[in-house]
Amino acid sequence: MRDDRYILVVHGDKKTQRIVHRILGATFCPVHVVDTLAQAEARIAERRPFLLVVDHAQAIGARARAVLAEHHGLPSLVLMHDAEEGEVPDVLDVDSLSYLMANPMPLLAEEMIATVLKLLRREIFGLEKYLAWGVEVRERVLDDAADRVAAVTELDDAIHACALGPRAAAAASLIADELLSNALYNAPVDGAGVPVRRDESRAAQRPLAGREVVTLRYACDARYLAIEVRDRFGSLDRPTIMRCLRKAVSRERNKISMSTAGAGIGLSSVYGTCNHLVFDLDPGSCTEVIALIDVRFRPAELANAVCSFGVFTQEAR
Amino acid sequence: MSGELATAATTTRRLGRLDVQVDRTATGCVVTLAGQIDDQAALEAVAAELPVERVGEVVIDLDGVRFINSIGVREWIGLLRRLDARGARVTLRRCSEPMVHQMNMVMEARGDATIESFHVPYVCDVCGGTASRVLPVAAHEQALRARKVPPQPCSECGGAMQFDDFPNRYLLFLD
Repeated sequence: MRDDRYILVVHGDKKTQRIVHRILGATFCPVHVVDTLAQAEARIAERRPFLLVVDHAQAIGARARAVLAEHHGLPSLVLMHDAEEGEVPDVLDVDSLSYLMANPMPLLAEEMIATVLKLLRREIFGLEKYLAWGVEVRERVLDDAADRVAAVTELDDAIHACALGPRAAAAASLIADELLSNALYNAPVDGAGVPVRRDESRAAQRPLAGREVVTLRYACDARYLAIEVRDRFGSLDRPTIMRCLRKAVSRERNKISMSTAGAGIGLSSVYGTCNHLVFDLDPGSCTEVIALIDVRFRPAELANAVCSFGVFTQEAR
Repeated sequence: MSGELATAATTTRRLGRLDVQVDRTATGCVVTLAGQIDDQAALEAVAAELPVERVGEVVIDLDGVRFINSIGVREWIGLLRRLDARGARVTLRRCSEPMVHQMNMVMEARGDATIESFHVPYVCDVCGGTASRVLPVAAHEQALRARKVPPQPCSECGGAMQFDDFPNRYLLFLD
């Protein structure tokens, strides 16, 4: 895992610099910390980092946009742990934004270390990366589209049985239902990338075989309840994801599609229901979406209502 | 849609995983929904059958709605729009937490309806117990406008239960 990659942190607050440096330093990957984007530009000109970590206030500025446009494709992680929900739309417009960390310590450390280790190791798939060692992962492979309801009911029952409470169960059920619908009806595409199941009735039976098989997995380590749904098409792309996230945080009307089989707000609903949403993309092969619900803290104990997210793309093998 | 006439003034039916009961009242009707609002809940069809031509008040009791997904939200919006088109004055009673969650994410899910009361999540600081209590809007209008939710006594230990969500997020639908 040792190589010449390094992480560049841009943040004006010394305390945050130290916290972030300590978290990232734990990966043994070199970390360079600067106060301003001007300093960052000089570092990037010398040698391009493999990840840019930047404060949200600086990320939305004109200078940051220019830097990211010049270094197109440089993955950026934006820190928003001291921000308000209303500031999210501007951040989502940042070019090449791939990761948003919205929570304060200790959640920040957990989210950030998992994110950076996935990138460093080039291993992006699996909910296990967000949970403690040894947790029991339950898995259900759907072999008919109509099994979605039974799978969601099974999940709901399991969460009630382990005393996580009705609110966690309601959130998990909605998340699983929407992610499964997305995998069953939006993911399947033909050779030209055209959706082939989008207009089908959500209630109809349809045997699933080959690439159409969808997998639901879930687990809990008493910190997070993780729900993972995987399809075998890999048709979900970053622009679609960002469009859904923007829709989730906007207060505009007409979010709902009234004329198509789907309502067009499934992924937006998921983002508005969990604490951390992760997209693992292997284009043309697989899409995995992981939603994390924090089961330790009451909402009022968290600093803000912003949801973290990450969009990972499998590097070419 | 198979409907069963319970009494002259009450009809009940099941739409997929949703139970729908309609009670005629002197001023209109009360529609009670319980269960799941999803792709099998054809709510627009319910709107077509409600007796709102003669009397324009429709109260929808949402206490028993335990689940509503994105397609369910669309069905729900269709119901509100159909009622609005027929001139009904809609009041939402005992909005469950899943309904509040969706109304906060999708503005049209509240529409022009009046919110009479809604469920509020509470947690007890003393014993850690949780509860979902119904809060009447009229009785707490000023506090709610200031994004404040009144504490409630814990039914288990008598301690003070506090609101268990972000006010700016959970109370957004009241705006």
